[in-house]
Amino acid sequence: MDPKTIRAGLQNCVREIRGFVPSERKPHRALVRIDELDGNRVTAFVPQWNPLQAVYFLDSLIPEHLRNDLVAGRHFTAMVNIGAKDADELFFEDFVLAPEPDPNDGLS
Amino acid sequence: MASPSLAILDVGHGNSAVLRDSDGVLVVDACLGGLLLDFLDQNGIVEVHAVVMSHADHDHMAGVLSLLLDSKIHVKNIYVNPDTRKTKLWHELRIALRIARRRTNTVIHTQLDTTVSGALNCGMVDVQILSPEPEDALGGVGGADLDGGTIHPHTLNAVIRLLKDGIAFALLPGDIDARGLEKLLQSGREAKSKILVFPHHGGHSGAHNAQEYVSRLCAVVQPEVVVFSIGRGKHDTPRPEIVEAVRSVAPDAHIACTQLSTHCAKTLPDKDASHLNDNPAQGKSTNSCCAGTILFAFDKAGISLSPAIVTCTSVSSRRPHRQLSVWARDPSLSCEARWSFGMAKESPGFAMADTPSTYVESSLVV
Repeated sequence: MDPKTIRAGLQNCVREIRGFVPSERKPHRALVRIDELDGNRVTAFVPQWNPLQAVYFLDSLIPEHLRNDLVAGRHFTAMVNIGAKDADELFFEDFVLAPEPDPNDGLS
Repeated sequence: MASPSLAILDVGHGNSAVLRDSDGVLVVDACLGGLLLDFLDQNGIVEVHAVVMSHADHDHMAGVLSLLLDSKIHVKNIYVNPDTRKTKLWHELRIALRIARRRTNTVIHTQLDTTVSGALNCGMVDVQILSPEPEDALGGVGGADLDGGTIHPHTLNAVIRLLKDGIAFALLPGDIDARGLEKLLQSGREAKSKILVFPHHGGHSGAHNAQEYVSRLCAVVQPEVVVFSIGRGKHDTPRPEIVEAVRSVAPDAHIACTQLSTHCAKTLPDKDASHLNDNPAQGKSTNSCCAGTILFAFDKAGISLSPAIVTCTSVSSRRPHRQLSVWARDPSLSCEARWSFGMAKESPGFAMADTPSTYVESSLVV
């Protein structure tokens, strides 16, 4: 990595610390659908980012008290930078278990 | 009392529009990503009177989940027709709605048809629903209409028209298909509007005869501005034959794409897009905006547009004195100019002879 790249990265950090967070890195509350579990690797979809592209993360991101709910088909919400261009730029934090839909919402 | 304004957001491939009226905010469709949230945040909007979902495709709907889940935003009402396709995204919308109902008592209206016209008003603008008719909406996606035909999602697509002081200024037809358009025409409802946000982003509408579809749509709407909400390089939009058909039916209409189509510019320009307004636009970070986010605001002179339309008079020998309408970014990159002059898509440059000679900013007069 050349000095120019490092300098640009540090400048980005300073900008974000000052509150100027680019849209691609702004976290928003998003649904996360668990698709598959393979060891400690989780395959999931983030419909607000891209409902068609799978993303991967380690199960250690999920709080321990929610690990029993980590099964295929379940939904969580998390703070995710849904404006990210590529999957490897996504970050996840603050996972919360999502409810099932209301069967009486008139939309089933 | 603030005058109304309508923002057609550059969300990339998808649709999202925000009507800011004197008594509230209306959001029509919401695409993937965080652009809509950025727009609301930048404009200090924390309460949305109603979200209207034209249909349940992800490029019109995925962002509704973001609105419903955002703890800083209160969505008071959501209007949507049930979609019996039961996709995963539909299931997820229902999860987000349950969360929003628990948090802020968002009211779900499961009827979005012509009978809802007027109920969505939040100030000076009259919000009309031109389609679907209630009897079709009752059939639901996948069901049958009264003629026995299967109702496809884009047939049941909600068509929204906005009027101020009795003058229709915007038509938001979602992704209405040929059958939906046929039903709209049969209803005899007035669909004329100054601004048309073109269905399907200028891509395939599913119509057997795309040119006929465009002709019928433009003939009934008679638009003065046609907006293609596109993502550069996505799905080949707007398709040249669609733009050409628009030009033939509405030759005086201004045409704008939110992002630079690859049909117009194979490579991105070097210079910055200084013509854009201050609102967030998906293409800003990659310098791929053409018109970017477009703001239509009412003032004493009529509707002002930002970025401004630039009208120019061509000195082309092929079409002398032809009036062109291009966005201020770079006339040489204008899809309209290129297509108007029938230049090859692959043409790397723009002939000097076709360079517009004069530019005059214009606004729509209502």
